[in-house]
Amino acid sequence: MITTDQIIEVKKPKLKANIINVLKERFSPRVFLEEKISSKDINSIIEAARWTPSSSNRQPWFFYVAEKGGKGFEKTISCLSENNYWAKYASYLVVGCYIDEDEKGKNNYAQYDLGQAVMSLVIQSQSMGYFVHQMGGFDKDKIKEILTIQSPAFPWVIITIGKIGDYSKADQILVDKDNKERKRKEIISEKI
Amino acid sequence: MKITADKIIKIRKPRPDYSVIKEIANRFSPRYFSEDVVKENDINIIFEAARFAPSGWNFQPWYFYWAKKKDKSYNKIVSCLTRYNQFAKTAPILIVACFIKKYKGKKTYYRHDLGAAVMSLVLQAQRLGYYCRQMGQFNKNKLKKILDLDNIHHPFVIIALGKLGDYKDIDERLLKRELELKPRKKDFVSKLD
Repeated sequence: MITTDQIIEVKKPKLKANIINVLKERFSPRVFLEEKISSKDINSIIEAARWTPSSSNRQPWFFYVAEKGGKGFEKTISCLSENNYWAKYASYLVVGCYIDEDEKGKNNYAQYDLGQAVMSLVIQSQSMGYFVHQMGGFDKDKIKEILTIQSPAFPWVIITIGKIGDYSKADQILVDKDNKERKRKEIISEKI
Repeated sequence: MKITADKIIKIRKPRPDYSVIKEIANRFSPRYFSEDVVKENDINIIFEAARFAPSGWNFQPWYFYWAKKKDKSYNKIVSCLTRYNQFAKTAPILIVACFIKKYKGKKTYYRHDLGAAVMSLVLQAQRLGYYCRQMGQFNKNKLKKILDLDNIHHPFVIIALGKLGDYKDIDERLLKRELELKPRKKDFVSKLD
């Protein structure tokens, strides 16, 4: 049997340089605690995304936020691919959309800026003791329809937010998936 | 009015409605950098932050090239920037952030994931006392060619990185742009029932 502390230990990155704690501690779990997040905390998490930089300050993102127990939560869950079933235990779901056209015209940086905004949200969450897991595997046409997401907004990621759960009681399949170190490419930069 | 870095910080700092971590609460994208050298160890920390960003299927579709001021490659990067972005020349470090479209034959979430990696890098830099300004407007084909980048690396943003300058000798037109506020929308979120 594996405990949550053991998973956290396995996920500690093998670092070449000393990065900030929130980035060290961050990983994307599949086991969440079924516990409410206060609206104060959710407000801070969303506010972090709001202050992200973006190309020409176009802020080409939109978020749908769904709290567990509500209809919106159920609707969002129904769009996830089967292997993301664990998401239903998270406290909050956020649907991250990019907006690739506005009054200035087409925006080639929409997806990129959404990625930045979500990362701000992730880092803010982690600093408050919450974990986040982003998913790209969901039925995008279906979610557009049931949440009436209108073009030019396009749903791109579904994000779970919550406290990390109890791995000793989790499905073995999830434990096996998460009981792996955070592997990274050795070289991602070079001086020229 | 004599402008100072402190005044710029006061004007440009985010005004969050809810409490956020100080790296986010202090971050903005300046156009005037100090000549102070960026320590090599700090550069290692900044890229290490990017390395551990999350990505779709863990494909990590990013790669960074960087140059110090006075390096030949630094001037090559500057030569690809638009006139509007020539302010970048004051930065001690320029980073070319690239995405990788395919990994093991599969299409990656390349733009989104590069954004996540750069945001990690930016907030880590902020923690170490540096500021970044990202630029998307540059001649991408020219840059690929003159830096002889690997074919799979598509340059997408150039990042100017350094300590904030003292603004003493800033050109008036540039200062005008620096004093512009960057307000944020409030209608970017909808709470579902």
